[in-house]
Amino acid sequence: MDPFDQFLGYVVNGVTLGAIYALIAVGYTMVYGIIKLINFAHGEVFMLGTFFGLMFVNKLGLTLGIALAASMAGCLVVGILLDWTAYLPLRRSKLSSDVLSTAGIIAMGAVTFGVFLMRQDHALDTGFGRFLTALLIAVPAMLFAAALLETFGAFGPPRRTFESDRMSALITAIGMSLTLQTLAMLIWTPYPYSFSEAALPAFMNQRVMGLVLGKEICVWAAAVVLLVVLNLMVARTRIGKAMRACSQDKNTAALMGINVNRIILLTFGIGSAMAAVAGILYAVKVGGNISFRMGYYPGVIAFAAAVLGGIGSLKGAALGGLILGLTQSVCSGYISSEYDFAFAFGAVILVILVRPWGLLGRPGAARA
Amino acid sequence: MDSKGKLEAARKAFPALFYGVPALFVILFPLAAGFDSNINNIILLIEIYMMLALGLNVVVGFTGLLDLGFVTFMAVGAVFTCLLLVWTVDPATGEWLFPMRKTEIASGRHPMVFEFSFFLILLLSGGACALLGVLRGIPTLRLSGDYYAIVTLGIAEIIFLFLLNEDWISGGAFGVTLKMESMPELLGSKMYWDSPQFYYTTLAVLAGGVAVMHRLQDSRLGRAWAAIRLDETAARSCGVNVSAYKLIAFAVSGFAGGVGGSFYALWQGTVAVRSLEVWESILILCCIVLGGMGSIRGVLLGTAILVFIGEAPRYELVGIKVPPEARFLIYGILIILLMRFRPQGLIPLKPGKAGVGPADLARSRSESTPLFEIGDRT
Repeated sequence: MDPFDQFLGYVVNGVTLGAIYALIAVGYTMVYGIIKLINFAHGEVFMLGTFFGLMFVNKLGLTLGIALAASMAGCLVVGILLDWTAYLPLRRSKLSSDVLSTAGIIAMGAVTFGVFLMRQDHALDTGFGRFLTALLIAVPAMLFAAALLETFGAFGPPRRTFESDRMSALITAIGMSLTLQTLAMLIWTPYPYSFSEAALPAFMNQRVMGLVLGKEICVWAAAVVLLVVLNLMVARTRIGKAMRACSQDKNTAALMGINVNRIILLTFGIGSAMAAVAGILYAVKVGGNISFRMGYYPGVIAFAAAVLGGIGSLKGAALGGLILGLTQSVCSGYISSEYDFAFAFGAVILVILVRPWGLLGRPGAARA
Repeated sequence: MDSKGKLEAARKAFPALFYGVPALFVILFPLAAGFDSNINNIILLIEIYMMLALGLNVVVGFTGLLDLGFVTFMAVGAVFTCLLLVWTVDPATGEWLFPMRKTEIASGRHPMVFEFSFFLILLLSGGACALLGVLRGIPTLRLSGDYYAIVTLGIAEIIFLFLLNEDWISGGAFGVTLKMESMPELLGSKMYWDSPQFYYTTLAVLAGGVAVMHRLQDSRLGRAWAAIRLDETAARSCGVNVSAYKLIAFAVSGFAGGVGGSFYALWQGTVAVRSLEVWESILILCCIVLGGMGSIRGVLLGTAILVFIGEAPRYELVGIKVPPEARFLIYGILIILLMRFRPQGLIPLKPGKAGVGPADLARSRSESTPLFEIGDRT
C-alpha cells in the first residue's frame, strides 16, 4: 500500500471515530452547559445503548434501523432515570421521590444479582426465573413512570430546593457509573460480545472508491444528520430556547416560567439518545469487543472533546470529537498503536492547560 | 454526673477507644489465630488501603481538590519496589539485569550487588512518588474542580498505559512475581505476607502515618490547606502561598501512596499493572467519601468498612461463580445514597477543627438560599 493511501486510511478511520465521539460529546456538553456537572455515567449510557442494539439485532433479529430507534428510546429512558434517581435529589428534596428512587436503585441491584445467580444454575426457564427477568424490566419501567409523574407534579411540591456542592454531584456521577457498569456486567456477563455481521446490509461491507467502507459512510451520514437536527432543535424550537435560557441563568429562567428541572431531565434524555446512536455506530464500525467496560475510554475522550471545542457549545463538541478522533487514529497509526488512548488523553491535558475555554468558547466563560 | 457531663466524658474517651480497641485486637489477633489466616490477610489489606486512603485524603480532604488519578502512586510505588528488589547490576559488564534474576543470583551465577533494606525501599519508593506528585502538580496548579479531576485522570491513564506497555519495566501484562529469595529481610526473616515481621511493620508504619496526619492537620500546614479548600482566592489574599502549599500536599500524598504501593507489592507478591487501573483510585476515593472527607478517623473507618465488605465475601462469591467485581455494585449504590443523605460522611470533620468539611458547608448554606442549580459558585 502506498503511503498516501495509508494516510487516507488513517484519516477515514479517524473521521469515523470522530463522528462517534462527537455524538457522545453532545450529551456531555449539553448537561455540563446547564448544570455544570461532568456526567461520568454518560460513557455507561453509551455502553448500554450498544448492548440494547446488540440485543435487538442479535437476539430479536430486528433490522438495524428499527434497532437504532428502539435503542434510542431505551437510552432516553435510561437518561431520564439517571437524572431522576441520582442527580435530581441533589437539587431538591421530596420525600416521595427520594423513597421511590432509593428503593428502585436497590431493587434493581438485587434483581440483577438474582438474575445473574439464576443464570448460573440455568434456571431462567423456571417460573421464578421468568418472574425475576420480568422484574428486571419492570423495575426501571416503574421508576420511569414515577419519574414522569413526578416531573408533571403528581407528588406535590418539593420540600425544599437547595444547592449541593459540585463535588457531591461529581462523586454521585462516579457512583452511578460504577453501578451501571456492574449491572451490565451481571446482566451480560464480563465476556466481550461481537456484533453479528449478518445483520448488516450487504453494502456496508463493500468498498466505495477503494478506501471507504459502506458502513463508514453510514456512520458519517447518521452523525451529520443527527447533529444538524439537534442543532436546529436547540436553535429554533421552544424547548431549545428553554435549554439555552437555563444554561445562561437558571434562576431567571425559572422566573420566566420555565420548569428548570423538567428541562434538565429532558436534556439528559436527549443526550442519552445521542449516546445510544453513537453506541450502535460504534458496534457497526468496530464489530467486536463489546463489554461492560467499553464505555469508559470513549466516555472520557468524548468529555475531552467537549472541553476541546468549548464546553456548552454543540458545534464545539462536534469539532472537538472530530479532532480527537483524527489525533487518535493518525498518531496510533504512525507512532504506536498501543498508546492510542494516551494520545487522546495527552491532547486533552494540553487543551485544558493551555486553552481551558476551548476552541470555540470565549475566555472567561464556562470554566470549571 | 449529669447527662451533659457524661456526653463530654464520652467525647473525650472517643479517640482513645477508637484507636485503642481495634489496635489491641489487631496486635493480639494473629498471636491467637496465626499469621497465615484469611482474616489476617484481610487485616493487612485494610491497613495497606488505610495508608493509601490517608494519602489521598491529603489532597481530596484537606486541600479540596478531586484527584482521580491516585492509583498512579500506588502503581509506581509497587513497580518501583519490584525494581529495587529484583533489579541488579551485572558486575562483569555493568549492565542492568532484568527481570527476576535473583534466583540466578541465589544459585551463584551473579554475586549480589545491591541489597536494599526494607525501610530504605519504603523511603525510596515514597520519595519517587512524592517527586512524581510534585511533577504532576506543577502544571495543574492553576486548575481546580472538574478540570483538575479530568487532568489527573488523564495523567493516570497515560502512566498506566506506559507501565502496561513497557514490559521491560513492569513485566507487562503478567507483571513481576516476587520470589521468596528476592523479598527483603528484617530481623532474620523474609518479609513475606504471612510473616510476623511484615504484619507488625505494616501496623507500625500505619500507626506512624496516622499520628503524622493528625499532627499535619492541626499544624500551620493543615490550616493553610483548609484555607485553600474553603476559598482559594481568600486564602491567597490572606497571604497563603497557595502554590507552595498545594505542592506540599501533592508531595505528602504521593509519598503515602508510594509507601502504600510498596506494602501492596510485598503483600500481593505479584505486581501486575493491569490490576492497578484507574478504577482502583475510585475505590480509594469511595473509602474517603464514606468516612468523611478530611476527617482522619472517618477515612480509617470508611476504609475498614469498604475493604472488609469487598474482601470478606470474596471466596463465597467465587464459590457461587460471581466475579469479585460484583462488589462494585454495592460501592456504587452506597456512594449515590451517601451523597444524597449524608454527604459529610460517617464521621464528618468537626467545625472549628481546621475548618469545615466541604459538603458540610454546602448543606448549611443551602438551608437559607434556595437555588435551582447544582452549585455554581462563580
